[in-house]
Amino acid sequence: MQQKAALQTKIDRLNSELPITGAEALIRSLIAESVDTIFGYPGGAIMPVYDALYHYGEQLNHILTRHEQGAIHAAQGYARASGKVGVVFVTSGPGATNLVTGLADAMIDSTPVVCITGQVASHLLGTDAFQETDVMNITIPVTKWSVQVTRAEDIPAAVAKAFYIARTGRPGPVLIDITKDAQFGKAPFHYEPCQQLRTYRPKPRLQMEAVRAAAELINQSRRPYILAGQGVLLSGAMEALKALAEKADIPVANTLLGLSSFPADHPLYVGFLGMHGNYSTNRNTNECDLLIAVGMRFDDRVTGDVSKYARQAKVIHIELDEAEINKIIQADVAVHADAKEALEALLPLVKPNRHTEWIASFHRYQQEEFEKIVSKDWFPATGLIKMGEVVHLLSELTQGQAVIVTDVGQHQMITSRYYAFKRPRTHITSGGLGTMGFALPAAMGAALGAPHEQVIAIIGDGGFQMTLQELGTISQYHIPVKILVLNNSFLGMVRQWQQLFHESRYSFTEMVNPDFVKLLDAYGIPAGRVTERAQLREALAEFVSAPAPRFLEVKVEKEDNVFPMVPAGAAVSDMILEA
Amino acid sequence: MKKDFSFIVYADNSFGILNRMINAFNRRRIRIRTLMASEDEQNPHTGSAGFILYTTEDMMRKVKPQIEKFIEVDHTHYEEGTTAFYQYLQQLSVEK
Repeated sequence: MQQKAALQTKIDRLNSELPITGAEALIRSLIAESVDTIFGYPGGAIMPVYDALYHYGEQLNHILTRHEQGAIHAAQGYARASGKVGVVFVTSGPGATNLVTGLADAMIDSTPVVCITGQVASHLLGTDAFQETDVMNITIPVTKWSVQVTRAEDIPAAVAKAFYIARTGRPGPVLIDITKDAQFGKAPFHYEPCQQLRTYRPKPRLQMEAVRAAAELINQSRRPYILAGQGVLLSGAMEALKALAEKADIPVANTLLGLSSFPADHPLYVGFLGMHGNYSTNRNTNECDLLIAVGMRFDDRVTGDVSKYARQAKVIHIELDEAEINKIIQADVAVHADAKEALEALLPLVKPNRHTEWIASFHRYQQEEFEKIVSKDWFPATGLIKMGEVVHLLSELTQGQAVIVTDVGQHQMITSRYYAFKRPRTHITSGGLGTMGFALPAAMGAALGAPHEQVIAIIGDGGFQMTLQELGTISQYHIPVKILVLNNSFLGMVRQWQQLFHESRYSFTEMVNPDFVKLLDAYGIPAGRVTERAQLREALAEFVSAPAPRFLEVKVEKEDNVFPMVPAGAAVSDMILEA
Repeated sequence: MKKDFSFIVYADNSFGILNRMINAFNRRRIRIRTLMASEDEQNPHTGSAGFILYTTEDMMRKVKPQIEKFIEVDHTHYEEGTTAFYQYLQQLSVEK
């Protein structure tokens, strides 16, 4: 109540009967939405907005990235670490088109961002004017909602609607394209936060019938199994999930984006799902008698061959997005609801239970995986440094408490397997889209969104070079990011597939890299390199304890593979432990 | 088995909403045989679109909530065959 009153007081102070420019109305609208950080890159069609922003420097922290893609990934990292909406400013034409990868990434990974794109004046729309592009149609498939504003007086309502849509329901990216004449135009300013929309129902009403049916299946089940996805984190259902798992003694596995929603050191945590997930989590998908999928969407990397996926099991699917229910896997009981609300309703209906033998079956698979793979990854006696030992050591040195941002590829899978995430919202990655180049800018955003956390970006040498221009941003603003590059001088995951499925024809995957330490030196960021196992612990400990920003390159074995794996098109139970 | 379906969408009349619908069908490679879209005579802020789609029942079940997910979409319905589409057309012409 007090918060609401304080917000209204703030809005009252911002409101103005005297006409102000559309550009200033945008800035005031963002302040009304409690935005504190903007990632952006100015240009011709958004100059009035930047001019207005100049006068609000004390209220809004603008981070000038080195590329628009960096800006949106930073906003994604900010949103994922803080739970708030990330905000981006870019200009028209190439500025707007450079957002597309980030929008697609945010769309598939349900990340709330609001992107403001400048646009040419409305009379020039459709004329192929300088830096004019049809950003609306380009971005329709990769936005939750988008709007083009051509009048100054429409800006506050568009912003209010954009924030409401971005953060409610299944979150996602929203784009507001503002023509230059709308930025220059003047109108009185009255801000009204959006509370509802006629055609948009972000939170479905919980159907207790479905909850009761789910409880009945859980109570009858002898081998129940919870698959927890990002919906658990987004709805804040972590405690409810833990309570349910503990009460009914149900093992819990995480999807890639669900990592950190259940503590990795909990006795019921059985690991990571999917193509490069754990052996037990995948094998037992096809041995359970009940799958309880919470806030996840049965991504193809999780299911493998759908026709052979959990055929023996009943399926409960708890999911906020109705379009995800029965899309890939047919649910026996569909609970179309917010995960937290559904789990809290389920908890009193579920009977206390024990599944000792069932849980022991996970442990047997875990033991097999440990002997054949994990022990060799963590404690190799000879050879070059392995990615697994680096991540395992980092997890130990940070006690699983750091915010870890990964890129895409082998290092990402290794981190998902071996970093023991203990707290929610400490794992940020590009999951659905698999965007190489995501980690460095996303880590910048995460560091600004969660300023009291240690943020560590773990990146491969390929992905690092896709967005390394953002080192300039880190250097300029002294953003406290730790950067750990696992350098195998290969596009490692592609190389692994070439080795396993294309008879080792390494077609254009080997990289000749620059001297990264010298490069970091040019940006004024302290940097080190490790090439020998004997130096690894000391170098990592120093990296963890040193002030950020900090960079460490670890030269790892060139042809290291990530195992186990579910070969493409195979069933999850056909997971292989070695080549 | 693929067959004809009538698919009717009621939505706010805003820029881009028709594109979103068509994108959703195209992405799923659903063939659009016929399309009619119109703003509401009484309330131009709302409108509707009718499609004849050539696809499978399973695909219709999956694409319906994807269309309903769009912010501006109020509700949809589909039926096998083209009758519902032509009834929709008739209704539009009566209203006009």
